[in-house]
Amino acid sequence: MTTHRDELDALMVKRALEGLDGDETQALETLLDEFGDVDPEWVDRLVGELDAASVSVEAQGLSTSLREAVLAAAPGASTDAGGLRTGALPVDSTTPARQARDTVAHAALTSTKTRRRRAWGGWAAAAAVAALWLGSASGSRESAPAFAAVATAPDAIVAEWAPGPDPTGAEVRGEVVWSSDGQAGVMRLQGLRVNAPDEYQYQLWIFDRDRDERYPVDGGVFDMPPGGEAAEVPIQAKLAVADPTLFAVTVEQPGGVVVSSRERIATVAEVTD
Amino acid sequence: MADDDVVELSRWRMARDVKTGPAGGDAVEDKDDVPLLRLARGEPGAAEACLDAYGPLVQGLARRLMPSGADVDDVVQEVLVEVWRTADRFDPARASDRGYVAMLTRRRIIDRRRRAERRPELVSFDLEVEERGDDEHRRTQGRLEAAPAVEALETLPEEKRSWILMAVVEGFSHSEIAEKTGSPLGTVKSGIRRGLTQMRRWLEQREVREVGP
Repeated sequence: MTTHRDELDALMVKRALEGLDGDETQALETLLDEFGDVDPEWVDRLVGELDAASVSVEAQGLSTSLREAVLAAAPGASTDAGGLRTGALPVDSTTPARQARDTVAHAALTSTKTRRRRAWGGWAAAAAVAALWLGSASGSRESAPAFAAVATAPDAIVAEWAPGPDPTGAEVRGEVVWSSDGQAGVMRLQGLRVNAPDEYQYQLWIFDRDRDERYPVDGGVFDMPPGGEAAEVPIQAKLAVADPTLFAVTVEQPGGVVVSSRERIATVAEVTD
Repeated sequence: MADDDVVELSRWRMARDVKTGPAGGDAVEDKDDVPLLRLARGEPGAAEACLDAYGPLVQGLARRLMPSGADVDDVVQEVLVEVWRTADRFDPARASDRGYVAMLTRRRIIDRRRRAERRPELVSFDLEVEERGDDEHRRTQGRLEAAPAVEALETLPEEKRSWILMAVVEGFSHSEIAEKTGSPLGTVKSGIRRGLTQMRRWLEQREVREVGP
């Protein structure tokens, strides 16, 4: 026997799964009035939970244009350096010709159909190629307190910087240390070209195994100050990083960017298992 | 089941390692970090965090529920803008953040479908598209992540469970499910309703069990 309460639930189920016509909507309203203590959204929420569980977290990310369009409508969303940026690094088909000298890095910066794989593979390959340039140079292991403090974390990982295609990083060496448990890290950089902050700044991107490879986490904007060969730069990850696979420093406009063109990759540090 | 070919339950990875969370969705150890709550608090950059956290969900759901693929980007934009507007209505005690966003997405898509159905000149076109979108297309994401709602689903008898999967995940209408399974339409409707009701009760009891006396 079907009760009014069953009818109410049936209408809520139909609304959540298929939608209601005008008469059904009216009937639902009437029944909701009759059963005033019934949660009118319980079916919607339950179906929503199943929907959320059924869409893979590895689903393809949004296009750059769509991200920008949505963000433009967001309250308080901005591209200012102080805001939270999420490091979208879209493929740019207008990559400067100068990048072509490094064919592996160039492959990382141009793509069509397989851009996700290339995006990752390219950055990793750039790191590998750059590592060959670097040879065995590891630099001084003198540890400043901040670096050492993170390095003592049980889960700390250390990756070695290698030059990227951009000349600003041609002489770079050093390490980056990161603790996922502590969500803290420090870059130790030597040889990265001193920058004029009003002309350009460096920006760190962190690739996380648990995130879409095309959207690395913004690790913060920083400068290489004059008068010193080495610098220790605390990482300011704007989102949680669970399992970093690659750190990359790009040259960006003052204040950094929301969407990097990836035209200028100064240095990369690949985490090896 | 009347037709094993309709729903291949073996394709569904049911959750074993179910994490905690309100009624489903991902576990959230620190609710202060939930992007939706950060957005509601007006924290700088929260919109970008929401975009990263929920954009792929909305897009994936739109692609699944709109087999033609048309207007997916429009739906994504509309839903996320709605998220911006309604973040303060999200109650973490009643839903997971991903579940809430998924709910908004489904509503938006159903609204669009309904509007399209009211335009006679588009009905035939939509039906043609629907026919072209074969069943396999709708099953492209046959996988369920760990969530309490999935755990609740597992407690149902196979028939109800498969009907709910067909209705929610694969997007079949009640009539289509009845046709494909050879079951009476009324039985399908009541089975889905009762199955969802059972799931709700199971989740409520689960919450009581976790809170304890």
